[in-house]
Amino acid sequence: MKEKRYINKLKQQWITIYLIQGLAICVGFTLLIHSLVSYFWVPNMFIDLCSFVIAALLFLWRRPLWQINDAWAVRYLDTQFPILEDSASLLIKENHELSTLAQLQLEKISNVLPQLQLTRGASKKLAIGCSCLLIGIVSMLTFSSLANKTSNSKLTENHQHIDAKTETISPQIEDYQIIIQPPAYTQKPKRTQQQFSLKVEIGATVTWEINTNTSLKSLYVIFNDKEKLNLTPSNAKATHWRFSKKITTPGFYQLVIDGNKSDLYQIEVIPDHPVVIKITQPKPQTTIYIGQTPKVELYANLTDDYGIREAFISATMASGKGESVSFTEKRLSFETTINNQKSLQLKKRIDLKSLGMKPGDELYFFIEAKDNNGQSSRSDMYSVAIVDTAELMSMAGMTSGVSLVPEYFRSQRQIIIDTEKLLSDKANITPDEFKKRSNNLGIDQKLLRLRYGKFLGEENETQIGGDDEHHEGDGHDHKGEKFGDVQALMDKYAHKHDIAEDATFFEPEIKQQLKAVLNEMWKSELNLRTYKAQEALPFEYKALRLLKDLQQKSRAYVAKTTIKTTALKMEKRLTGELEQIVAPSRTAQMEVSDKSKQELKILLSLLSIHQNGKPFNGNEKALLQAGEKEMIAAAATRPASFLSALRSLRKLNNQNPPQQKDLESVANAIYRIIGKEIPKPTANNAGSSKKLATIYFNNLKNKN
Amino acid sequence: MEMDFKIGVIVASAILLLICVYLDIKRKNKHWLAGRIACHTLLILSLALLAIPLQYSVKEKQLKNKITVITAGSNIDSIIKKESKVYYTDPSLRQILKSKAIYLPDLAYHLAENPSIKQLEVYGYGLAQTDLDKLDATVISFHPAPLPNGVVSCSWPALVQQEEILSVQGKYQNHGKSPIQLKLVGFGVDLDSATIGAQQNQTFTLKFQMRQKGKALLKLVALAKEDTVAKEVIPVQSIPKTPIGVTILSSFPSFEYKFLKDWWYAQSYPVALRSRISKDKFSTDFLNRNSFNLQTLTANQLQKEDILMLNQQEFDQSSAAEQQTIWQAVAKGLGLIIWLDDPNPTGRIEKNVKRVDQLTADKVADLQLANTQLRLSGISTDLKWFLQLQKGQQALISNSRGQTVATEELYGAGKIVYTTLQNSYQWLLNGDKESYANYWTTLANAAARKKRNAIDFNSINQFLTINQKATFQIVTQDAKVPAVNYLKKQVNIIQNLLFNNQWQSQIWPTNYGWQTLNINGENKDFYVFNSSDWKSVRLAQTLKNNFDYTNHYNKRNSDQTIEEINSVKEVSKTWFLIIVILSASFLWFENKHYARK
Repeated sequence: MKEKRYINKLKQQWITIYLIQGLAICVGFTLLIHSLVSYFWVPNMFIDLCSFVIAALLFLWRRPLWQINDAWAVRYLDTQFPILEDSASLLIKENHELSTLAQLQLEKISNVLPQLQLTRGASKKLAIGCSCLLIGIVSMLTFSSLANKTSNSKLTENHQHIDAKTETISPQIEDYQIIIQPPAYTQKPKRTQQQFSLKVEIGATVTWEINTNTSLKSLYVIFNDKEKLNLTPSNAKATHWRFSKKITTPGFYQLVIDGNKSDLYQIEVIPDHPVVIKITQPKPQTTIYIGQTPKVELYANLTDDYGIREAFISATMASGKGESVSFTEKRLSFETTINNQKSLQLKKRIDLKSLGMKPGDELYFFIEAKDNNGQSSRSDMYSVAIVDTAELMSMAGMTSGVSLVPEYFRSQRQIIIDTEKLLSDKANITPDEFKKRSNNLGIDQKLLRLRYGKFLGEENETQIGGDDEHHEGDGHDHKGEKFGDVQALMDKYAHKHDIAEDATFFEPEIKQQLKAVLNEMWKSELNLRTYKAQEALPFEYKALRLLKDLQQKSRAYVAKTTIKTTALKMEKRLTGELEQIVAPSRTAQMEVSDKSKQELKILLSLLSIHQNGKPFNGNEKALLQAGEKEMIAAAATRPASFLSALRSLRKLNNQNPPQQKDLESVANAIYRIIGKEIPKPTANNAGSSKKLATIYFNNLKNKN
Repeated sequence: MEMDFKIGVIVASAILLLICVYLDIKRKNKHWLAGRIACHTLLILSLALLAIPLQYSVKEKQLKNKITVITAGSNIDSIIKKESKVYYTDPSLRQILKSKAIYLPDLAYHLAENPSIKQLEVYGYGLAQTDLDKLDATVISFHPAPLPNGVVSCSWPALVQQEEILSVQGKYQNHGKSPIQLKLVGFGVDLDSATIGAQQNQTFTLKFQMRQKGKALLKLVALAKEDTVAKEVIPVQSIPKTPIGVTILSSFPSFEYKFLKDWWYAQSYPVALRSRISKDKFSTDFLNRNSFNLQTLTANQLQKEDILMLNQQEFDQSSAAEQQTIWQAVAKGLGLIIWLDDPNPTGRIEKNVKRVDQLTADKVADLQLANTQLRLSGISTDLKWFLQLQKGQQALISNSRGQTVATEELYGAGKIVYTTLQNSYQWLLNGDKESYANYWTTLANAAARKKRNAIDFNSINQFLTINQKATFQIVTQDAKVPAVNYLKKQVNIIQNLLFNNQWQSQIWPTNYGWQTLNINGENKDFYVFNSSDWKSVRLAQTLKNNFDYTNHYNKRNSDQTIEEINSVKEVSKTWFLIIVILSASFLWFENKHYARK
């Protein structure tokens, strides 16, 4: 037995070793493949899985683990340990199979066994596995870092590509530098660029420093083709020019060096958005019922592109009714310190009681926030209302008007009063007594519910306090059944519906509300029956409130009116004098002053015709100039989309023959400026051959 | 020369054969002697025949009185192999056919010269229309080529009013394995696009709202993945809209009329509004026009108007004479738009319409235009009635449930439009100018009096092509001969035999692009395509013309006699090459086999 265990242990050890080695190799291989695939292509789970399976299959083929059995173990022992004298096979044989000599030999070797190093060479195998795993991990790390680097460099390349748009720079300019000082609110540092196209934060101060290789007579800048800025050189040789401007609107500009206009350079403005306020809790309208804690948890997310300077809750309380409503305003601040964060998670518990709110009062609030540029924004208005119990309890609604369900209504009110009384007595009574009273109230609530259920035609539990079925010995007299009375017999078994007498006629809306009442009563009953009187209270109140609404709804009020009209004198009817009434008349002529759109439409056609490379003539050039005006206006507001078209338009004006690229760019821009047109009525064309149509028509008419 | 070559080859082969046979016999080992000699003989004979083609003559049966004509798109090699004598008429095929076929500059002339020819075998896309016209009912046996790859038909209106939608419709035959994206491109913008599935013949519709004033060249581009397969020119012209003059009569002042009047005024169209403010007292507005007496309607005045709009009550209140005037004017072409108020069973209008009571109370009406299925934005209105279409009526506006809100019907030369919507101004109050404009444009366009052009000008050919005859149809107001000029030269015109105000003129454009024809001092533009434009459409058209021709003339049976022709055929050299290889390999094998022994 000992020998058997020994062999088994040996097998287990080797299987474990091989498993670990195999797993390490497979994982290592998979990692290697994964890293390669994700570096050159896209990471793919399927490929990873496949590579793992392939590696595993290869390993199992190379080293079939299932072949590690007793025979293998014996072979292993015989080859590895000469001391066993090739007799390891005796270890797996049953004792009775062994000859005496064999038994002696077995005894001899079994004494040697325990001292042996069983897993000789295992460390080497494990090392191979680990090194495979290591290779996998290392390749994974290196390739992922490489990938990051390349993607970063790609990004930066792209970025530079966007920035380094081909800008044509006048030959007189030797060197230039543009210093952008972003406004204080952005908290961004000053930056310089070697590029005339600008993309700056709104309100940024831009300084141009231009060195020229020759002394210039004049240098000025034109903004949006309107604003002209004359410059004075900062050195005597007139080679160094410096000027600055605060950029508040987008547009474009060009430098005029000694009368030569440069290319158009665009100015894009990054606007500053106000704080975005998002209230996640509470809902826009919250009602707090009796029994609920008069507190509101407020959660809000505030985000801004540069920083939030301050945020607070502006709350307005409305108390009183009718004309005597009074408002009090309060400013609640958040506990969190606000210090130019870009995004804020704000939390505030508004304690309505500490604000001095009473039942019936309403609280309106919104969050107002200012960003560091002083722009303020506010959230939507949210409201919280505390239900007024006093009004609910008043009998005002019932004493006057037609009450649909007066007696039951009183009951619900009674249940509330009883529940409140029970709660106030709770300290003085025994728990059993409390439970009993609570349960009794639950029964009352049930009865009430059943009564209302009747209105909805609810069945089954129609008999209050009673059971649906008759029992033997229930005290009732069953002798009344007459033999042969079919009706009575049928009544006993039939389940009667739709008894005309019982039918209730309610509007679907009222039924809906009744259902809601029953639902609340259900919940209240549930809580009362489980001795949770406190929890039952809100449901009771809600049921009461809904009942009251119901009662209000089913009342129709018609005010009494007393109108005295004088009797009509039929003979004087419609005999008024109309001479004094003048017939007003008005004439007007629509004057279309803005013909620019029409000109643009003609220009669009013109550009299409000139695609064959025909040069523009004088009249057409005038149209191009008219189009340029529109284009300047468009480019001033949206330089990114229209500036290149404006450049092309200017080229068209100067170059002959026109280039296809410029024509398309300008046509595209004009097409967009014209935009979609609203339809306009028009007469259909009836063709010119009036004669033929008339003859045909007349012929038809005569035939008829 | 050729003979010498043949003799040389024969002599050389004979010598070679003799040497080989001699060597075979002399060999010590007589292993497979007969076989070797036979193989050598075969080998050398085949070599000789490789150099000298072996020809033989066969007798073929052929239709005596027919000739074969090849046109573009046919499988030339297979036809030439099958038929002994082949002709072609298209000079552009000369490069390919050269000496393989005979060029016929004028097919009709050839047929006249050889009256025995009764039938034509035509392969490919078929004969040109000009050739077909001259054939004089000769029977054609047509072997059509498959439809060309590309746009096989395409059409669009040459003139579209400004701001109206131009729609380009056609059919595309895609033989390729990848889908084709068709794009309408113009003004540097992709205006519209459609996709044609792989290996499909599909129709397409591309739309574009005319934004230019005048001529423009759009392009129809076909893309297979990223490659441009075809690029065709679409010339379009926009013409200004014809203004519509309107008179509105209302029995009470209302926002509906006020807003409509203002909208009409903003379009710079003439409008007159008369609204009753008291008994026989009216408030009148004359916008974009001179004032005139609107107290009573006269036939003369109505003749000048394009549309008369009034509400039902106003119509019923007007005198019988006035009503008569209105009906007469409508019969002469005036458009009439009527707002249906509360039903008036005795009124005349009530007899023309059938109202259906609105049962479900919609607070918001979702209307749509019947002709374009365009949905208008919802407006809050309480439509009390819908209209049930009567005989001769057509729906103009309907709601989302398909109930009709506005209808049109013919009355004489004019149209009457009925609408039950009383508060279309709600759209303007909602700030939706587009829906309002769509609504009133639909009603006005349906009703408005049709306008006639002084000169109507049409090209008979769909694709006028450079160096080809262009025929124009000109219609004038009267029978006075119009002066037509092309390239500052007078063009002769033919008068129509039946209608004395219709004319035809022919020109041969020598340039492609926009051209101008001057008719009575009025410039009419047309576009001449280059000969390479719209090739696939023209080929498809040629196919159709040939089919039409064969369908029309081939009903009559032609007498066919069969004739035997001797034709010389050549034995393919492949056979000899096979013999050479086989015999050489036998000899090689024999040598190896012997050596092993």
